[in-house]
Amino acid sequence: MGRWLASLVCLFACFAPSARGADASVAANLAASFGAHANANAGAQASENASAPSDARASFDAGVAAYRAGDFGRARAHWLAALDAGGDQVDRKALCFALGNAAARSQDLGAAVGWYSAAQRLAPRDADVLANLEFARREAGFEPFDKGDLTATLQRVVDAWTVAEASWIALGAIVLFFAVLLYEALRGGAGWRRLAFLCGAGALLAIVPWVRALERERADALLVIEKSGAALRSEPRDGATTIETLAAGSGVRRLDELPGWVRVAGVDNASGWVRAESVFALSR
Amino acid sequence: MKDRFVHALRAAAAVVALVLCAFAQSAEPRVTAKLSTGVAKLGEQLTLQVIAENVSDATLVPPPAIEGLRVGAFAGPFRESSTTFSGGRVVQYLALTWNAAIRPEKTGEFTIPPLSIKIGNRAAQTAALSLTVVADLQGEDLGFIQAIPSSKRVIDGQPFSVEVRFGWDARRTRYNYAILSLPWWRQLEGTVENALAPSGRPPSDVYAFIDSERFEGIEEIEPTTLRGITFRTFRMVKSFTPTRAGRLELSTSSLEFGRVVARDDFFAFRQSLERAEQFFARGEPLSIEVVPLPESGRPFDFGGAVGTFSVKAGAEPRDVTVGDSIKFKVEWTGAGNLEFFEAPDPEHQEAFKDFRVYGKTETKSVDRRVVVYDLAPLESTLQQIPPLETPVFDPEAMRYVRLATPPITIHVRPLKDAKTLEADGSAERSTRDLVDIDARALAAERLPRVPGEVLLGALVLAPALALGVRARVRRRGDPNAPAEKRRRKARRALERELAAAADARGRFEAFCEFLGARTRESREAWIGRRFERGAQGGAPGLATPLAPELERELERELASLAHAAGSGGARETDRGRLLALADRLIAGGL
Repeated sequence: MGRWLASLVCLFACFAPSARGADASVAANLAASFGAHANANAGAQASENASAPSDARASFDAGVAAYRAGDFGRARAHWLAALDAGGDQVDRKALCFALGNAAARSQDLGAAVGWYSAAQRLAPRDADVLANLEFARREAGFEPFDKGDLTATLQRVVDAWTVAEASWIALGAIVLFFAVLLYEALRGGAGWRRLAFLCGAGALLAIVPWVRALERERADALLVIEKSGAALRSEPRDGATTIETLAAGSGVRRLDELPGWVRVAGVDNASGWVRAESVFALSR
Repeated sequence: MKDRFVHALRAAAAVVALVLCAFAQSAEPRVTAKLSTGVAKLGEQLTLQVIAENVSDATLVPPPAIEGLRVGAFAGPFRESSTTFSGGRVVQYLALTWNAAIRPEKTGEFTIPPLSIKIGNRAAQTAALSLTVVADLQGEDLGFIQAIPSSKRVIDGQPFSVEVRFGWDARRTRYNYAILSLPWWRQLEGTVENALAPSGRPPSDVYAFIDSERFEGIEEIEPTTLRGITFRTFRMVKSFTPTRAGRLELSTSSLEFGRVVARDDFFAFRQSLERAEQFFARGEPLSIEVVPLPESGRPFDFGGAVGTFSVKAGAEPRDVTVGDSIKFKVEWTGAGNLEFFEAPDPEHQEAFKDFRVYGKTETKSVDRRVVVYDLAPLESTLQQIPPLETPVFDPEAMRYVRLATPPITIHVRPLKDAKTLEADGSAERSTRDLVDIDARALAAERLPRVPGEVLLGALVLAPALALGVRARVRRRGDPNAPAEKRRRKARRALERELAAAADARGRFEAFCEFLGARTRESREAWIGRRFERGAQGGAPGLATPLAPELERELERELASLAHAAGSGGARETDRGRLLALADRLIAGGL
């Protein structure tokens, strides 16, 4: 409940143009630095093995050719270059998906789970992404993405929308609520009044996925990809006390970072430092 | 008030009880043992009772076996406690009691050794008990009991049966009960019991018990003559399969018989039986030798089948394609351990190498064993189901034999594009793998987002706007009121009623109804209404004054309609013109 309230407060706060701009710039800086670190090896490989075309489309196609030839490292380098190039020429979800396949074929299952999770954030209902995500999680020995219980099912229903989709759903629900309210105002009647209450509740419920999608988008989410779990340490050094062990496949939030180390907040908001290679940035 | 009194009474009782307990005298622990009788007839059931007094917790150490006496399990301890006043003192009595049934198996003098009872960390012992067991000479003459085995020497695994015959002098027709003491009946060490089909109907005039439990499995057979006396005879049979070699001891059996009479006890919920005449007869102990299966000549695939068997087989369907399932049914019958041997596995027999065995289902009974194998031919060249062999030890011939089913002819059709099941199954098996990449990866047209400001604004403004409209509308009254509903429906009602009107009066009334509904008045208010123009003109009673020309047109039309209605309605009125006027009136503010 507190998280929801916090999300709503953040939501309102983010509508202030100055605040949003500042936040976005911080996030961009963090993402850029961490992304550069996380992909450092791959990037280096890309510069060595592939003269990466600057055009995202060309990079992607070169990656496909390398992937088909069984050169998964080269394919990954091309696709990372395409991802960095950005633009609207290539579907980012497809890029993350392809990078997941390249990682899985290279037996880097933790990274594959990370890439598929990133793809799933971009296309929450994509059946292929979900299939590969579950496959990779199973192969990596992680808990399934969809645990199959009621909580997981409800969470999947709520999280099955992108921000744009969720915003249109919310707007539709508000318009419907307004129409019913207006009709009740003009015509009256207990039935329409009850319907108006129902639509009001529906409109509030329809806002939940939008808030969740915004929260998901804004949160600097990381995925623990270390198969044996990641040690959450009190300080950014190997000898520091281990506060807890983050389970493989669990999600955490990035708070800060230092070279080789990332400060994260776990599920119960306990913060600490983990090795950078133990986590995977999901914002792509 | 009453509650307070009850509470006070309870408190006083509790205090008294505590005081009594505090002052109660507890005597030294004492243990005793006693028999229901010191002299018993052979076969008669006695009760051994062990009592530990003035102890709250104790454990009875099971007594050692006494040759010639069968001591049953001890039941208990049963707790008994009481508090009494004696000589001005409070005496508390507490006792634990154990009971066991004892049945003598031979005559003579017996001594039941002291029984040990553990009380806390010390042990107390009862005194030794003496028992004299005498034969019931009259009972031995009047009754008999015999245990007759099917064979006194059997092979390990070979089923055998024991028939128990008993009865009494056929002239004593009033005898109506029998209690058999058969220590081996419930469980015979070294054997498993075979299920037997129930025997004939039990006699209706005889109560039969085995060790105090009612038994219905007896049947009456032809009278037996023994010692020159004709006995009314009953029988019952039990079948066993030995599970190990050695000697099986069936200890002495005894029979209690005589006459019981039924008594109706008002306070009991069932009829009780009371012995009127009681006699005892004794049977001889029995021994059966179980010899082990010979090692020499034992087949490596021997599954423990012992007996004299015959086997038959069938298959369905017999015209199949390679890989199709054939139900191969094999049935063994005869005398032997049909329930217990391990059915042969075709997969372990060379003759079945061209078949795949998917499984089997079994049904077992004492006289029949049926196994249905699920076979699939792997080659189209197969022409028969080969004989299935079962190694069996024949106790009559005292050697191992191999029973074989007859071969069954089948027709196996080849698979399309393949000769054998292996060839067909050599195709790649499907398994789960990653979904392939999307080589096109075309960026889909992005759905624009609804700005958050718009959403939150809509969420706040939409209800506010609707509430504003509502408040404004409500100022004119409740839109859901009947008059408002009638007003809204007036135009449609006019159209409907004009279509249904048969004459000018009907049309006139329909139009007046329309005007009444629109002005929230009754229809009659517009019949014969006078249009008196005031300073500002307009029809009387209207919230919004009509335009003068519209008002004049309405006045004319009403007069015309009233005239037509009054003249008998012969003149046809233009319905379209009336509806057009109605529309103009609504638009004009009516």
